[in-house]
Amino acid sequence: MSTSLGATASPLGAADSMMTIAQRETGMSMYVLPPAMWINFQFKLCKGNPVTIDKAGQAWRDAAEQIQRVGAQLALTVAAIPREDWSADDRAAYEQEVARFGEQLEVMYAFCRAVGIALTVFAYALFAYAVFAVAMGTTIGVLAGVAAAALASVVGAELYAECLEVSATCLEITAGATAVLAAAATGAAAVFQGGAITSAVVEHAKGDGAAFGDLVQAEITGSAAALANLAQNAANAGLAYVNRADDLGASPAGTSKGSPLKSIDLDADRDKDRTWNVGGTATVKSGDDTITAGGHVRYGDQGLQGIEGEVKVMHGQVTAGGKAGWERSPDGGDSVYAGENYAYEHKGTGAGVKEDGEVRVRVGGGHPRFDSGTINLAETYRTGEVARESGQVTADDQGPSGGGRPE
Amino acid sequence: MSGEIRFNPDRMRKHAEQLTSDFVPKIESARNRLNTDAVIEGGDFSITGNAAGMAYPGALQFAFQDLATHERMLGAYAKNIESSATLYQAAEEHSTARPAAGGAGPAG
Repeated sequence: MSTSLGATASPLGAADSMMTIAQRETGMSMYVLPPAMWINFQFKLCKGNPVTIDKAGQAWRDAAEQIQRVGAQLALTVAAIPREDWSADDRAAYEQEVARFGEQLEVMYAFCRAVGIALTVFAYALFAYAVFAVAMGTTIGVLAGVAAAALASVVGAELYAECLEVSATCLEITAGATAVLAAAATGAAAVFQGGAITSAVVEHAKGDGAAFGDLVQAEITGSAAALANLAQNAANAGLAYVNRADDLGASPAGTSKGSPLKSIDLDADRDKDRTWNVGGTATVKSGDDTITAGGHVRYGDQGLQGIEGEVKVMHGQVTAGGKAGWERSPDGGDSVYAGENYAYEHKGTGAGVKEDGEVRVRVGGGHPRFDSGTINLAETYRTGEVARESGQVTADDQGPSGGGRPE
Repeated sequence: MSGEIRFNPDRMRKHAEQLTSDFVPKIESARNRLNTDAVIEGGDFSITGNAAGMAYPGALQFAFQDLATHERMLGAYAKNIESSATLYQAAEEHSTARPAAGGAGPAG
């Protein structure tokens, strides 16, 4: 159907209004509760445009398919030239060249597809943040109401102090969620940068002498000076990955003692269905924060089957985490998902909050379709839950029968 | 040397033509697809997502450049095949000039 139909069916469009609501809620509350101002500020920092990003993701995936088709069709077209119309040494040489050409396009296909997926995953990370922001904004709004009433009453000073303290906690939690979004962006950046460099290396190995030139050209055209550091890091990561078999088991050279990188864990396993599960996790300690980030890729006979990135941030009494990924079911359906969770416990009072949520979207067939969303929110005291709110939405109750639901 | 050389210059030229008029536009259409929807602003990633916003243009430009290189490669293949066809044709014309007594004359 028309693209505009697909765009409206996507839940991503809601992110914008959710962020606006969250900003308005915290914006009004900050007159009563100063920490709300900083929450509001973070919401401003985290407002992106998931619809555009997801649309770009689709464009990359479309381009990937087109590129792959060119390689395959070219090989067929060359093979279709009858031997009596052309058989000589130069034909054999040309056929080899065409095979290499196809391999290079195959690398490009993988790169474009990876970028396409990373974009859509990041779009949903922005969306998940918007879901969180609305929950947090509403919490702050209610809190501000209580605080305002407390200020107005004669005996309210103590209650106001409590509201203020809780709002400070909310700020910490928001900082955690923002860190998760930033980590998701870093993950996407690694795909963009590392992927381009890795592709250039692989294409070069497959005979495209221009690949490095293209990369350099791309850097010149597409980058600012600030990119240099990032590119270098990503290059090292990409090259280390490419050369990972060279010194198997050896510790990564050049890891200086003062490095904030505390641990790194890489694994590559192959399961019974010959599906590779390749990934790594790194733990970084920065100031008071301990950040654990990891990513995994599943690759099998049917190609790429899943990508997942996961981040956990521990800051004092706050633990916030998030994960996002893409997976392909055995029947070939693609879906992306993004989830986040956070927990906080105040050491002195034992009061805390626990929250987790997940959004799942099917991306097969060109148009993303909302699949399901869950959110659990609980207030905790010491070890128990005081109150709990849960919500779940699934795609089953919406839409006409046109969708390709299996079974 | 048994390496029999067979060729049909027209068929070879037809293939060269396919490369430039059929395959190059296919790669170009992938570039156009990116050009239409994949050019996004850094702000779309949000300020927090700056890392992604900064790295993204490099990835996009790499794809543009790399695909352009592959278009040029196809163009070069086409040119080589065409000159090869011309060469074969010239060689054939020289060698077929020999049996002049053939049947070109107005017999009967």
